[in-house]
Order: sequence, then C-alpha cells, then structure tokens
Amino acid sequence: MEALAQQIFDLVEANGGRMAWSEMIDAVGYPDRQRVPQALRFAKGQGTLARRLYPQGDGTIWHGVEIVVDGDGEPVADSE
Amino acid sequence: MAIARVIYTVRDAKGKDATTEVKLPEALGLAGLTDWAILFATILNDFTSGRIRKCQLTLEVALSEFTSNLLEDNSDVEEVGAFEFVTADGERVKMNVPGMQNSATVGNSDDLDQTDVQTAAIITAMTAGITTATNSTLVQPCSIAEDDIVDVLFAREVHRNSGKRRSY
Repeated sequence: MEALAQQIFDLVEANGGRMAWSEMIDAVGYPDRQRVPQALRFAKGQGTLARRLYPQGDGTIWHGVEIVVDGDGEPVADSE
Repeated sequence: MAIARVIYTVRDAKGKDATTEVKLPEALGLAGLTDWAILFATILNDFTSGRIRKCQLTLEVALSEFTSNLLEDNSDVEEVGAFEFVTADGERVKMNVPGMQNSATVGNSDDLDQTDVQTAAIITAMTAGITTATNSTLVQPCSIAEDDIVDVLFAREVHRNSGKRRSY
C-alpha cells in the first residue's frame, strides 16, 4: 500500500501538486486502481495527500487529490 | 423567498408523539431562527398539555440554478447507495442515497466502486469536506455528536421499499 501511495504522490507532484480524480485513476490504471482508496487512506494517515473538492464558480466542482503542504508551503512528504 | 420550518415534537402522557410546524422567512438567519424557535417553544409549552421533546429547524435550499438536475430514464429510488462512515472516535454515520446508478457497482458484487468519479466525490465530500465558495471555509460533515467524519467503512447497493408512488 505504501508503494501505491508513493506512486500517487509522485503522479500528483509531477502534475503540479494537485490532480483531478479521473486523471489520477486513469494514470494508476488497472489493476491497481481498485486499491487507490486504501492507498489514499494510508497517505492521509501519513499527512501527505488529501482528497479535495473545490467549487469552480461555474456550477461545477473540482474533485481530486492534493499534496498536503506545511507552513512553508513545502510538501509534507519532503519536509523534515 | 426561501423559508425555514421549525418542527416541534410533542409527547403525550400515553407516550405518543405528534408534530406541529411553523414556517419562517429564512432571511432571519440561523441565530435568529434558533432564538425564535426557543421563544415559541415557551409559548407552545404554555398551550399544550404534552411535553415538547424535540425542536428541529429545516432550511429549504432553492434549486432553480441547479440546471443539471435531470431525471434519467429508468431511475429508481428503491435502488439505494448505502454508505457507512466513521468518525475519529469510531462513531458510525449512515447515509442512504436513493436512485443510485446500476453501473456504480464493482463486477458482480453489491459493493460500490469507490474509484468511480461519482461515488468517490460523495466519499470525499463526506470524509474530507467541501471548501465552500462563499467564504472559502472547509466544511466537513459530522456525526450527531459533532465529530468530523474521517473515513468510509463501506459503500454498497441495497434495495429499499420507498412506500410511496407519486404520479406526475
């Protein structure tokens, strides 16, 4: 599970720190996509990734995964 | 103008419950509505021989701008997406969503596919909250004890008799 959480973290980081849910699921691909919820639960426990929903102002809602940053704006996974 | 409803539940000496409600303009705001509800409970208490055991406030939200709210062919409210969530304290919170889509399950099981965009969005909203547009505040659903929901225990399809049929 830790490996998949790291894989998702790397994907999101390469995407600028946030990634839409459908893109992330597609990028993980079969068969691992079914383990994404558990991997995100693991990452949430580690404080590195968070599921997010943001209204876009046009009636749509952005849904995806975001890297959790510390007070200095650095990703938690990279900070001491 | 949107309205709020204040619903009082009164119990009699035989243990039977009955409700009465008052409609108020929503513009009063939550604090004003709550104040009003408690003041009226005092008046109601003087009137009724029963005991007021519950006072609920419901707000009606206008859906006029919610244009994607369409009825799909073959939709059925008796096909229910049953979610069970949990708070950090281990308290369980259930939510049943009527009219789930048949394609939401995984393979031949009754488990909902938690990676599907629509199902995942519900789980994210319930376990991580939604950042509201009005004040950019993260609002997270909670249990009856006001503890934040933090995780989903299961999501599956169930069938439940709705008991009502309305004609259009």
